[in-house]
Amino acid sequence: MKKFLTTVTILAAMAAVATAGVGIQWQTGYGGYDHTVSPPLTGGTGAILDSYSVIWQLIYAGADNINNPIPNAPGDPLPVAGGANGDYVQGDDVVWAQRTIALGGGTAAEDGSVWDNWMYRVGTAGDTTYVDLSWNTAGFVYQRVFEGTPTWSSYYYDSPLFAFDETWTDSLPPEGFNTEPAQGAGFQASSTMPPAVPEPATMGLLGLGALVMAFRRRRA
Amino acid sequence: MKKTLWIAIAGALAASVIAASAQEVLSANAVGYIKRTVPANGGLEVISYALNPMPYSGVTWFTNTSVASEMPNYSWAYFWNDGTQRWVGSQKSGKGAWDGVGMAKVVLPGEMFFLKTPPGAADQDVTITGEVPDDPTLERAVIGSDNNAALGNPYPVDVAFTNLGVAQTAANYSWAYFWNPTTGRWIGTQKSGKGAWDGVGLAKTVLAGEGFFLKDLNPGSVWTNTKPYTWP
Repeated sequence: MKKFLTTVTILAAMAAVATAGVGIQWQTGYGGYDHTVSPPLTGGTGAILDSYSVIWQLIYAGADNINNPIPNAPGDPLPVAGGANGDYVQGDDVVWAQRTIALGGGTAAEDGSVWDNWMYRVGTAGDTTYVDLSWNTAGFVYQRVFEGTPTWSSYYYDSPLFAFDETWTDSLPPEGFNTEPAQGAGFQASSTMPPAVPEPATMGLLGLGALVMAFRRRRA
Repeated sequence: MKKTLWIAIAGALAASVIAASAQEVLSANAVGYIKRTVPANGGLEVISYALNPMPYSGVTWFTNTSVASEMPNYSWAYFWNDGTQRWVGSQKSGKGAWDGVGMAKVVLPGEMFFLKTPPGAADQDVTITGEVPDDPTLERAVIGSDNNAALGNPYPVDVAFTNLGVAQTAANYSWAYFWNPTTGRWIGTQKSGKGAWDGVGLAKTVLAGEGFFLKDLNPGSVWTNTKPYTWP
């Protein structure tokens, strides 16, 4: 009986320690620049939040382990907010966490964290760690930053993929994941949403306008 | 001539006595150094800041510690939150400033925290530098009730784990965990139902500047450490 109890105690303790999961602290390590800034991205002007609000996402790359890009050819649909996998994502990618930060910086209501105009964390408020202790599948995440609310031809940034540790437990420090592609410089929104293509009715109106102009020119 | 010499010697003696009186020693501080190595390429090591940083304002601000200065940009520090039972991270930015919790963190005597190197970095030696504490006792709260407390010896000496008061008073069936920087995992030890720590705990020496987890089944308590040296 005593041996049985000891075994049960040890097994219970092992189970408590061996819980799998993910814990990712995602943030910038240098800062973000708006899309008009010329590299190198190390200067003291051009902070992304000086010109735009941002939507900043931590995205699971899905079972295919790739970043499914936002299509951006003319005629491609504009991704929309509110999809089953989260705002604006494609394929099997899933938004795990999101922050919305106003122009100039401030508090992201989603996790209570506070950010300056470079998207650099200031203060101790909030919790910047994404935790899911029930997750047990290896995979990748990436970060996406939209300049303003996504619309036709607006800019966004996708970070490189980050392989997370699915055996993480909360007795371990969270994994740190920076937005930037490399150390020593910032990041910049360089990808674009699809361009707007005029609809047939609009094209018709434009054509009509051109005809009127041509007719008036001939009469003159 | 001989008289002049005697007067000069007497004068010099008097001057040296006056000078010695003016430089009266009012306190004696000892400065200590504890070397710790944080493993390369995102490796983690536990730290207990067992010295008082200089200049010492009565509390140990993390940003005022030698280790915070020595860690390279993009390093991380993690501090344990008793309430949430989770680590809270702070990163040293590419521009050299600690963010978030690290900006305003007071490291307590006997508190363990983590340092982590950036991806791609080599082993990072850090030196805990400061005055050797001369407090006769130092106290550290232990959350207990089967919660993890992040602890370390508040005095800069190596000590057998089982000689620590907090290990001796821990309830039977409590657990302690020691960090293995090579494997990046905790090694557990349990206090048996008869009150003895198992082999891992028995063999463990907690090094100066090292920390550990204690998951005490007792209710919350205060661990009072007595200074293990006579000077300073």
